[in-house]
Amino acid sequence: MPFEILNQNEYILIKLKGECGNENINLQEEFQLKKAEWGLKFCIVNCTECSMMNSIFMRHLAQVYRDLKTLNGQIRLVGCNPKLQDAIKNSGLDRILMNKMSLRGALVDFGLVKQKEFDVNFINPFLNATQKVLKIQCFIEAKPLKPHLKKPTDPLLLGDVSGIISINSETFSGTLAISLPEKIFLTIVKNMLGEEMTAITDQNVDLVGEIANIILGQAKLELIGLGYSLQAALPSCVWGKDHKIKHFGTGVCVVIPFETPVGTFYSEIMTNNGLLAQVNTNKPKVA
Amino acid sequence: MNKLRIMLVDDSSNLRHVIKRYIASGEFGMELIFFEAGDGAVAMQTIQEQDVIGEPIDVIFLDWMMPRVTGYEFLMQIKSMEPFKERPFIVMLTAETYAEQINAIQKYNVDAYVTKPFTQEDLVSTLMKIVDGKGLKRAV
Repeated sequence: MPFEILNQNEYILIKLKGECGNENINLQEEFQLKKAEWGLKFCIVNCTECSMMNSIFMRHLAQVYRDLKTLNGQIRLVGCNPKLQDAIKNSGLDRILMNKMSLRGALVDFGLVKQKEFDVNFINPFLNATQKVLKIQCFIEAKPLKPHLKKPTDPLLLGDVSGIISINSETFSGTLAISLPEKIFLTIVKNMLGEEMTAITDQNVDLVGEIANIILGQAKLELIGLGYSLQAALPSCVWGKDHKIKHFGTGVCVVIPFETPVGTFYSEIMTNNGLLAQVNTNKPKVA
Repeated sequence: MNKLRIMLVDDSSNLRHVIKRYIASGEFGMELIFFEAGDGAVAMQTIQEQDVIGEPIDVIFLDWMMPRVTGYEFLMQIKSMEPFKERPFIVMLTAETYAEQINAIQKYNVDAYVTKPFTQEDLVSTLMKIVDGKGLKRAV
């Protein structure tokens, strides 16, 4: 069978595999039986391993949608490849069989996940990624300290040079900034380039943007495992004493300080939607 | 000594420097000649020029995320050109490994990919595999 129906306590999960619809299936009937047995009204169709589905299979899913609608329930597809998304759109079912990039996005749509539950999940991947990237790429051991919320009275920027990158997902939009004091930055320059430099210059400054980009890439790997999906843009770099971080967000800014043998630097995550507002700053998780 | 022509395509000149430094530390038994490009358009021009003068690029280290012509666009472009379908060999450098990248890697027969952050060993061993596996020492 190209599908499997599973009880996930709060929702029904239909896992698809390969090409769906070539076999003689009865998804709708099987779903109805399970739904009645489990008493659930939300359904997620995991399409990450589904290469394509034919129109018959789509109609089965549309029937599932109608079933759930009678209970005020909902259905979401997760992780459809672009070809599959096009096929659904061409069949005119894209408003019924809505695709989400992430499981988290679908759960938010259902109202099964509250924003405050994301907070620690969201912080720790950045924390872990920062440590890993600094160690492997920059040869610096960084120990995370207690995160805190940035106050309006705090300096606009805590370091001398910053790499900034905008982040967007179904459940988060904002910016990541890595802000380094000159001493740490020059140590990184020396470690990576093998050359001693005495100042931040136009020639070396782009390294901080690269570091921010690599950290985000690493964090994304962990976040995907937690059901998030992120889109990132090219990084930008700003530098100079008291320079402004060009955060695109207007919400809360969480600061994670990191201690290194050559001083302290800061990772800042600012959100547009207040997602991180309730982060538990007393319990930073250190990988 | 045989020559191995390597092109580094990354918008960060500093990262190109790091990659070059790491690769140059490897012992390939060949003379390494480096070419650099900050984006796909410059890279394409150099590759064609080198081909015309009979000193073709052997291996490209290609960053995925670049302004103007991205690594993906560059990959599609070069693999659609008859003289470059098989060679230069391509090593993708990416800060992420997701469906889009993996699809492209499979579709365009990318020879290897290295995920950032990378170590010196990651780059040297990747290139070594290409040099040995593709018979570059004999062919050059």
